[in-house]
Parts: sequence; structure tokens; C-alpha cells
Amino acid sequence: MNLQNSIKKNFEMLNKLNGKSSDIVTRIIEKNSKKIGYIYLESVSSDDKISDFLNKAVINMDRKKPFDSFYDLIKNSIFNSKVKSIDTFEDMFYHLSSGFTVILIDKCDKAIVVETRQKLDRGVTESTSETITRGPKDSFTENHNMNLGLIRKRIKDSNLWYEEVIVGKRSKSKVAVAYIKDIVPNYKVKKIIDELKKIDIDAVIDTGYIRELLEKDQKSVFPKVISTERPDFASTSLLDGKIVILVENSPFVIILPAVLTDFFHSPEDNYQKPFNVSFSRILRAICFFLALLTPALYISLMTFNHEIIPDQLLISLAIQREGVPFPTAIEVLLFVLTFEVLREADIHSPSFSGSAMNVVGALILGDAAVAAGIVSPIVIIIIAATSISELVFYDVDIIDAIREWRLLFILAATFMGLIGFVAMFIIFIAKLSSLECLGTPYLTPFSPLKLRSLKNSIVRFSRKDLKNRPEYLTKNLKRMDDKYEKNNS
Amino acid sequence: MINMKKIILSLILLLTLSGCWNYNELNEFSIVSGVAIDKSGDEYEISVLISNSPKSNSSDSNSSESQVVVYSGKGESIFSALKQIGLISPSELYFGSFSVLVISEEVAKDGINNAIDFFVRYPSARKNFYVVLSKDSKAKDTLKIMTPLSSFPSQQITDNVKTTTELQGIIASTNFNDLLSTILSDGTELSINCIKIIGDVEEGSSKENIESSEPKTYTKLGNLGIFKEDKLVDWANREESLGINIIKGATEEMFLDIEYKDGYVVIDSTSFSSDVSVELKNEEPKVNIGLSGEARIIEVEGDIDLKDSKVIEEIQKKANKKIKKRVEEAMDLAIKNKTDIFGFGQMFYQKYPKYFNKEKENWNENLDKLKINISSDLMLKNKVSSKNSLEEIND
Repeated sequence: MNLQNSIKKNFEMLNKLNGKSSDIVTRIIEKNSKKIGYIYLESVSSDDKISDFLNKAVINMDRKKPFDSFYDLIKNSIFNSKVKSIDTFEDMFYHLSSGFTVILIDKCDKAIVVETRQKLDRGVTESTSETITRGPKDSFTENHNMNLGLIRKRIKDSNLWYEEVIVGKRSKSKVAVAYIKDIVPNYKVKKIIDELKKIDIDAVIDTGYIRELLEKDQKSVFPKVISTERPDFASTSLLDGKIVILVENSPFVIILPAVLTDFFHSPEDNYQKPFNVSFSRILRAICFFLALLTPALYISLMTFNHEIIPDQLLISLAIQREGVPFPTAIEVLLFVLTFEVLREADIHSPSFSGSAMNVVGALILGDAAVAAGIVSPIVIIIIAATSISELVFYDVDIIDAIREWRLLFILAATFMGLIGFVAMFIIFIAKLSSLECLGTPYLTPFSPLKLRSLKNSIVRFSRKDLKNRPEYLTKNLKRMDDKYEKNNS
Repeated sequence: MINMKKIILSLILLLTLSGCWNYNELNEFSIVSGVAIDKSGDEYEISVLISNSPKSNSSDSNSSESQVVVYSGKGESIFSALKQIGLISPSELYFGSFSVLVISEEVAKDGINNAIDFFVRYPSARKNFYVVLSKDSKAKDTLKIMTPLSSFPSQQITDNVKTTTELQGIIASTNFNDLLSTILSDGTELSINCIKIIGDVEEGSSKENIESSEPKTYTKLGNLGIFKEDKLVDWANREESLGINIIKGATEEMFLDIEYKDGYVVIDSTSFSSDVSVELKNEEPKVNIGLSGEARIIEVEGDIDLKDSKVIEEIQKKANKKIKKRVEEAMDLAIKNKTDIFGFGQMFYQKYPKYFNKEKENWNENLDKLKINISSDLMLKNKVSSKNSLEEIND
């Protein structure tokens, strides 16, 4: 709907459209016998800025300057770097909600918008969900521009491109696709932008919306994108040839495409010595299988395939199970669920109730349950090992995926022992192999085998050996000059 | 969607219709960790050692220690005897992981083929349990002797067999696989170590035996019993046992005490190996036994000058002579009993199958016609902290 050429009419129209919302402020000033009206939302705009830039500019405006119209005169007298012209009510609302002030001039069907945004976010703070011991500590915030800046200040390259799409009919959120032009193949960016443009939703509140809407082809509990709140990690991913999607008002960005081994990595891996990093990554890979398979393996050994257990252990296990009233599978499931309940309670409870939970968890559910003969001690050990193993991952999505597959494994082992276990493992591998994101198979670089990319997957070679970018992400491979070593030695 | 429903439905059916085939909770078993076979009259008496019964005071969490129970049953066959035990035992016997089979002297003398047949066929039994003979006592009793250093008797026996095989020349572990392959192949016969009970059985099976710092009753491994076909024919003495194990290459570590002048020297070899080869020249079978290894002096008594290389050489010569003597003694025992416990026949079969097949029938009888050529080459490395005996240093 276009603006009308009377301030009064525009005000009336605005009130009609917005139902006289309490935060709308309107005012009319008369200057040189011309009426100037302005509108802003006091909830998102800064009163100081409006007074400083706007009122002063309008009042001190010098009429003698040679401008064609009063409109141009005002537009050029305002001391503000963000001044735009608009001519529809839709645009007006968008800018009002973003903290702009709209200036209306009598007998003119255009309006001027001036940025007078109030700071509605916390500053750059330390990352809370991905804590590290060494490396940059800043994290993304809810401020979109600040997020873009946090990446930009790390990569001062003209090839770092941000492409913006507005998503959400009501929220009109800015979604920025960040990539490095000469590294990322063009078709990938185009595909993402096309997908984003196709999205038809009323609001996008967080990156999670975008992630879910992009992952529509293949249903899987395994995450195919990495979520992070660390700008340094986003930057290294960009340099590897990945694409980063930032959503307005969300401190989490998503990085894609992701492969399984990416979740064995930590943002810190780039700042530590390669040998130590390799050690941690191998540990995480072991933990991945431990967390996934241990309970199922235990059930199948205890109830079907006793012959595999060494003699001494067999007797020890049998004695521990003596007097436990439940079948092994029920016993394990009971405690897997107990741990999940504990974890769920822990995540969402404020920190002051944490210690009470520790007591309940550690003492009552562990010790007391064994003493009461409800579970055997070995099951407590199994569940503890499993749970600790799953917590080495910093990405919540992968933890959840492990948790769900673990239940499937337990189910298979309960009904068919090792045979079911192996069958489920085959299904598991098949499922993983079938996943792909932006044309990158999920098990790369193992399947399909990419020998050169193996240098930075489960192990990390030293930086001098990592002269190339991952070949499954880009064709522009050279990260370092091949002669680098020679020239320096 | 219909397709998806079908898939889910068939998956659920697949899971549940298996009906938990072969499902068994571990604590529904009585886990057998040792088996003993005796003879009582014409019947077999079979005893099983069940080791997963929790102690009566298992309320504390440290209940992984066990109290053992020995049940026995009699029957004309092993299986009928086991069924008798089934009437006593509260839960199903599980033979999947027992670690020792004790066969009594009487059963061995009558032939062990019938006795072991059950264990060959039993589906979930592992075939790597140890086999020992019980000498001078019932096999059942060896399973009852409680020892303070192991949590149950069968473990004591297996640990004992395992470590002594490495450290003592006269013991060579025999597991069920070895036993089967020896029985099933031509030209080689069995030799199995025995186990003896020292002390009173009643006392040994009570709790006091564990609590005392010097157990009154214990089990001890002993010499080899030698078999012909599946029957026990003779017992080797200590020297002969050593000789047998030397030839079979089952000895890696052994010691020899050598008399020298008015004192003695004990040497210990840790890398002893034997190399047996057979050859056939003009239809005359010949066996070459090459023995080699390194040894060091570990004990000296008397006026012996170890700095003198001639003395060392002389001791070395004596040691080799002694080893040769042991081997010859072992050979004599085999010839006397007409049983080829060393497996020479098997070697001839592998190298000269035609010749062996011709001689197969009378192989054991003609063992004395074999030409045996023994060469022993034990090197004495005199790496000791003190060159001479302490007495001498004191002077």
C-alpha cells in the first residue's frame, strides 16, 4: 500500500493498520510553514538518537541551500549515515520495527527513514556452549551486523561474500549466506539461496528453523550441518570451503556441508599441537562407538552369547546378576532412561538446584539401587561409561543422534543377541552412507575414500602437511604454496 | 505411505517373532568351571564344580567372590551321570566355559575315548580347557581343595598349569584341542601331566584351609602319564618327564644341577629349543634331535673357579651330557612301553607318507629300531654378578 500525500492521513492509516499499538510515537513539527511529521517505535528506537540527529537537524535546517524540493533538503540535512526513501506502508513497518524513524512531509507521497536503533542485545560475550581452553573466546550474539562483523574482521578478503535473503512473512528476518567466492563452487551457493527463497513460513526466530527447513529431503537424526556460536570456528570453516548461514537474532550459525568426522572435531583443534589433537580425536571416535554400542553389546553377551565372555569374567558377571529381579534388557533400559531423565533435568534446571540433583543421581540412583538389588553393579558401570562417552562431543545434535541409535541397538540386541546387533550395525552403516549434504556424502573422507582429506579427519597432520583444502569441498585446493617449506628452510 | 507401513510392520514382526531364540539370562545357569571324571564300579562318576553361587552374606556390594559347590552323579554314560546332577542342581548346568577337566587314573587306564566324547559333541563348550590326570586320589577330590590364592579350585589348577608350563621343564600344558588332535592322528601318542593331592581331602575342602596361612592340604602338579592309544600305560618319573618335554619342544625354561668336583653348579636355561627332523636312508628310519639354547649359572657351591674358561667349558660339556641322558631315558621309557609319545611317526607320515603307511601297523612295536641321533648344544653364558662362590670370596 502506497503512502499518501497527507501526514494526517498517513497517521490515521498507520493507526488503523497497527491497532494503535502503545509504542508508536508520532509528532508533527512545523518548519518554515511546512509540516513535518515523524513516527518511531519507542520500544526499538533510541530517544537520544532521535533528539540528537533528527530534531536538531530539522530545526537547524538551512533553507537557503539550493535544493529542488523540501524533501531533498531534509534528506540531505540529516546527520546520519543510514538514510533511505520509502514509499509503501510495508516498507514503513519493516523499518519502524527495525528501529528506524520515519519522516513524513506534507504533500509528498514519499517518506524518509533514518536509523535510530536502540541497542537491544548483550555485547560480545564468552561462548557458553562451546568452552575451550585455548583460542579466541568471543562468540556470536543476537545482533546480526555484529555477527557479520565478527567474521569479517577475521577474513579481510574481498572474496568473502555475504548474500542476504529475507525469510519469514511476518518476522522478515535477514538470513545471510556467507562464503568465500573463489573457494566455494557457485552451484552450492545458488542451491542454498534458491532453497532459502522458496521457504514459506511466517517467522524465523532462530537458526534452528532454517536448519530444519533446509534438511527436508532426508530424514535422519544425524545432523548434517554444524551449529556453532564461535566466530573463529565459522571462519576456519569458511576457509575450508564451507558455507555459513547466519540468521538475524540468533547467536548460533550453521555451517554446511558437514560430514560425520566433523563432529569428532573441536573448535580448539586448530590451536593445539597436531599430535595431541589426533589423540583427542581418536578418543572421540572410540567414545562414539562406546556410547553407541556398549549397552547393546552387554545385553547380547549377557542373554545370548555367553560363550564369548572369558571364564573369570563370566563367573563374576553371573554372581553380580544374582538376585536381580529384572531381565538384563529391562535393567539396562531402566538405567539408560534414568540417565536421560537426569540429563534432561540438569540441562534445564537453574544452577542452584544442581547439587541436589548430583546427590539424587550419584547416591540414590547409583549406590542405593545396587544395594537394594534392583540393578547389578556392572550395569551401573556400563551406563556410566556410555553416558560419559557421549558427553565428549560438543555438538548436542550428535549426542541426541547417538542416544536414539543406541536405543535401536538395544532393541535389536534384546530380541536377537549378537545377530541382531550386527544386523542393526549394518543398517546403521547403510543409513549413514545414504546421507548427503550439498552433494557431499556423509561418510567422506572414508567412503568415498579421499586419501588427502584423511590427513585432517580422524587424525590431524601438522599444518605444513595440510597444504590443501579438503578436496570434497572445493576445487581450489591450494591453501599454502607447495614451496613454502623450501623457501623457509 | 502404505509401503512405509508395510516396512514398519514387517520390522516389528521380524523383531518380535524371533521369540528371543536362544535367550538365556546368565544367572539362570550354574556355571561349571571344572569337571572331574571318576570310575565307581562299572559306572562313571562325574563331578562338576559350580562356581557362581553367591556367598550367603552377599548383601555387601563386594560380592564378586564366590563359594564353590561340587556336585556329582553316577551313570553308565557321562550324559546319564550329568542328568543325575541335574536333579540336584537348582539351575541348568552351563559347560560353555569350564577351564579344567580332571580324569582319574582308573578312567585313563580303561581308555579316555568314551569319557571325552561328550565334550567333543557338546555345542557350546570351548575346546581350550586343560586336561590333567589325577594320581593316587579321586579326580573329584582335586576339585574340592580350596586354596587361599585363587578364588576357586579350578582356577588354581589352570593358573598352576599355565605358569609352570612356562617356568618348569617337566610340566607341559595339554588342552583339549591338543588332546583331540593327538588322539585323532596316527604316529603320535598322548602324554598328560598329573595332579596330586597332598594332605587330607576333608580338611582341604573346608573353609579353614583358606583361612590358615599354611594350608594343610593342597594340590601339586606332577609327572607325565604316558598313553598308548587312549589308555594310560605308565607314569614317567621326573627325569623322564623332562626328557619327553625336551624332545617335544615343550620346554623353554629349565634348570639342571650338575655335580662338579666336590660341589655342584646349577644352570638355568631360558631359551631352550629343540629341532627334531626325520630322514629315511635306504629304508632305514633315522631321527635327528638337535637341542640348543643358552644357559647361565645361577647357583654355585664348592671350590669352583668360574673365572677359568676351561672350567666353564667342562661344565657346559657335563650339562650337555646330562641333557642327552635325559633324552635317552625318555626314549627308553617310550620303547619299553611301545608308545610313540614324541610323534616321530607323525613326522615320518608328513615327510615319507608311503613309508609310514607301510609301517603304520607296527610303528609302536618297532620304535626301538629307530636310529636316534641326539646332539645337544647348550651354550653357557657366564653372566653372573659374582664370579666365584661366596665361600671362596670370604677366604
